[in-house]
Amino acid sequence: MSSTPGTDPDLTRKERREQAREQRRAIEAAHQAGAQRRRLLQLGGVIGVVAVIIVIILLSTGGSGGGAPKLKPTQTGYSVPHAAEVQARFAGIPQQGIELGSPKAPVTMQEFVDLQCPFCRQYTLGVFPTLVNKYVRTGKLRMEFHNFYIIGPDSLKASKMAEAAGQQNLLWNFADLFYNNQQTENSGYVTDAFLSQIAGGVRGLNVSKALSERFSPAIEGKVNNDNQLARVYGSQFANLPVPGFNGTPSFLLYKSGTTPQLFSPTSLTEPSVFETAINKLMKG
Amino acid sequence: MIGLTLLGTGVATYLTIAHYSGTTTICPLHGGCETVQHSTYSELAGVPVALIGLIGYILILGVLLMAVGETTRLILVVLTLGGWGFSAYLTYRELFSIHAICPWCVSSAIIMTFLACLAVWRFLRGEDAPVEALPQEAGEPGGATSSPPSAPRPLPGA
Repeated sequence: MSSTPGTDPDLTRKERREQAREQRRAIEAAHQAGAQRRRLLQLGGVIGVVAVIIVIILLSTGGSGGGAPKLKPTQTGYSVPHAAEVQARFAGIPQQGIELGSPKAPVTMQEFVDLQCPFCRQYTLGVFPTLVNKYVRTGKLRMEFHNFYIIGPDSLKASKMAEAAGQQNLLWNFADLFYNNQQTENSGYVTDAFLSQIAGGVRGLNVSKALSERFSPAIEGKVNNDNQLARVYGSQFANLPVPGFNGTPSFLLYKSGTTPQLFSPTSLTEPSVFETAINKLMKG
Repeated sequence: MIGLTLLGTGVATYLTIAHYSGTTTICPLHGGCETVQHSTYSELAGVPVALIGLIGYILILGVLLMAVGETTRLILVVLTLGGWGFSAYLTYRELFSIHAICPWCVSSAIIMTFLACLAVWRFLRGEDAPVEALPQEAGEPGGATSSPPSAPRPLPGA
């Protein structure tokens, strides 16, 4: 028998052609299978390398919460991240101590917050700017800042500095800038150096004055009062379907001059939830 | 695939600009864009991740516009799987570290997922025309398949 395809005289011409074609197909299939194996190997290799790289990234960036990037010592004054943005936000809006906005505004919102609290940060970054632009700047809403320090001793430290800034009528600027640069809670980042850096990013704030005045008895009394008030509200609202004042941020939203009412927003990142409530109060 | 990549490029461009200019992100679907964009994970070794994504999309677009072949298909697999892995890492951070979701980032991750699936499928499929399915014409001389110029194979007995 001849081994060369297509030369076996026992087969018809047609059958010889068929045989040749079969053999070509078989070789073709073997090539394809080989190529496919190679591709799968390459794919496996790529997946492996990508997985390793991702794990490396994961491990090298882990450890911190969703806070802001660490402040570098060189970032002072206006190079504190978001300093210019914060400055612009409050420019031209009246500020007096803990109050923001026109004293005659028909609606009042009190916030009870912890400067270390990531949810207060979420609210300040996601909702607060809209409220300031749409309602405070236009004289419809006035706000009050109250301390409700629950996370740790650093919270109290930050509160006192905020109150000291309030004595220079820049509390809101300070708090906003603080939130924009907030780090992982209770990680010990609220050092005097950090507070100085943030304060330094608030234009017009006398940093050394604030640093020394934050330990005054007046401020001590103020922050303690706020905290006590928060706990009173906490017991008052404890038995509601959605308990109020059992964490931060907590809000009171009401027509100015009337009894403060609890406001429990369903979202801290969606401004419309707040806007609806404010609009309702403005109409009624 | 080009359409998807252009979409992804658009998203990445917007996020890169938003990061550098410090303006408030327009946040669709009740998301926590600001929290995510301002978090420590929005940068990798000082480089905004939006910029990393933008470069990735541009590279993918570039390769898609090059001549088709086994090598370019492999490069696309590398780029899209890498992009997908990075998107997966960022999504993990959103869910478990930042506890906020940015819909822009999610849409980029979805686009990347589709791109990676398409790239892997095209790569494993191999030749531009599928080989197995077509029935052979009777009496066909020479090659049993259509071989593209990039992978010529000598046919025995020809």
